[in-house]
Amino acid sequence: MSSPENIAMHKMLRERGIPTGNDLPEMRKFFDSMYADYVVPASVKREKVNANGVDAEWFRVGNPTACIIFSHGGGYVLGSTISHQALIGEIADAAGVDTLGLNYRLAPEHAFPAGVEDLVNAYRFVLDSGVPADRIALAGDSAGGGLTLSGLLSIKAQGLPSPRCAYVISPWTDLTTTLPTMASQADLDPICTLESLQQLAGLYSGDLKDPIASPLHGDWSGQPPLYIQVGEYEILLDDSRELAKKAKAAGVDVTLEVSPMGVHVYPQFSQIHPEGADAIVKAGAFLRKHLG
Amino acid sequence: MAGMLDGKVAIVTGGGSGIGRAACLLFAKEGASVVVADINEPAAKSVADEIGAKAIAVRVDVTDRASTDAMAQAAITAFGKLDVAFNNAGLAGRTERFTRTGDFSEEESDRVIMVNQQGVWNCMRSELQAMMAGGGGAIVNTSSLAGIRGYAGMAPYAASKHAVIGLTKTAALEYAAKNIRVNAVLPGGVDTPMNATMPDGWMDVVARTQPMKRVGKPEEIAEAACWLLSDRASFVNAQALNVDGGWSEVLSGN
Repeated sequence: MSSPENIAMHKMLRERGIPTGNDLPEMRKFFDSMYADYVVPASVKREKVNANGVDAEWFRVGNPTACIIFSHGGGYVLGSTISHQALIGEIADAAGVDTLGLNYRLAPEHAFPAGVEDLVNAYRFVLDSGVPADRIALAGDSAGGGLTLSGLLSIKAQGLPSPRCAYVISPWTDLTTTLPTMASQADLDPICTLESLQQLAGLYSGDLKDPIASPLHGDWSGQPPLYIQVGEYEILLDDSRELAKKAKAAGVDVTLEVSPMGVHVYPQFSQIHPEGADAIVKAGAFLRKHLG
Repeated sequence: MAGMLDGKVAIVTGGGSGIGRAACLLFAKEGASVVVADINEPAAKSVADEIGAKAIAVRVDVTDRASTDAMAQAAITAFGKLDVAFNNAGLAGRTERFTRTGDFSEEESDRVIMVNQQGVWNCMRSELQAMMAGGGGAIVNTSSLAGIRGYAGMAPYAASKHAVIGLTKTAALEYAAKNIRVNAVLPGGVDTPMNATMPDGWMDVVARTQPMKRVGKPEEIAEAACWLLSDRASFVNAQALNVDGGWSEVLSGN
């Protein structure tokens, strides 16, 4: 059984809810404050940077010989390197690699493919800074996990060298929101609802089946190793399982970890439940193995 | 209609609260004379008083063999024999902070093991003697879903509840020919004072994740124990019975 701390955490998340409504500035402000209690590791030094036209922030741990490019979640509409500062800092610290957090352009002001363009431009920025592709990892959670996977497909389509690996947490891979766990896990998921995902998908992309916008529908051959972490109790569970299945069938080295009774982006709650802390340790091991 | 435990003398440990209290009340209703045993003597007394003349309260420390012997003797002194026993006293032993197996102090783990595991063993030592003297009997021990699964952060609890099943099945084999049956119940999420010591919100979320969308009531565990102790379960032996609304089937890992 999962820890009592994890089980109890569901209630807190359910009661807190997620930002809803039409007041975007308010929703973004609320989203940025949701994780304010979580501490960025003291080893991390932050520094704003313009990454080839993309607003970004370094989370440096004193190892610039490799790089993780992190794309935050928030349904392509919310979120920033503020909302995700603790998660980005913990990943940088666990991997021992300087991490570039992106404030990619958000929908609806900047719909698909603006975010993907920003990720690829930031990737070029890191390549141009002298870090070779095989010393770069892409990472992201939720919509940022989807964006990371979209980025892999887009990088390959543009003929750029692929990064060494990718680490995604609860990635949103299918904007059509039609996979079975959308219904089967609905009562169990304390964070995401089908309605909110559908609203966000509509703001992000006019074509929900576009193989870059919905990377589940893309061609996964020739892609680098993927590490996917997802919670058992989330409606986006199948987005990970199906992506893993598809990438594996295309010959990709995929590791899928389903955390029992885990919630959406459970590593983001690493400071209040042990399963989350374990996830960060495992992510660090994966990233060190490939970048170390 | 005759009661399921008509004419029988029963011991219930942890009888002062939660599942034990519900069992005492049910066993009495089903015709048994009941020894309400608990380390909390006022709680035991309150349950015995609620039942009336067919119950006595006994203070028992299950970690102390002399105390469990005295408990079995109290049944014989008060009611002339011992037929059935529900060894149910236990504690969760959750620490304030999440603690991994390697980080539990011996003091913390020993306490839980002593009550949940050695306590059941002590009770059985005392009860089996009395039951053999009387020509037979039945025992039900309280394990847990943590008796068949790991439980992150609860190593002593999971270890002790696994041990209860080992003891139950072994005793069942050894005493079957002596006309004593031994079984275990494995409660799932139940609304008890012990589970009130879990983190805030635990009970709500457990209820939500159940197939039946609710936690169990102590009375529902008591019903299963009552049946297992009764002659209606006369061919049921060495079993570990989940009484969990189906929770074990939906926990991942099946």
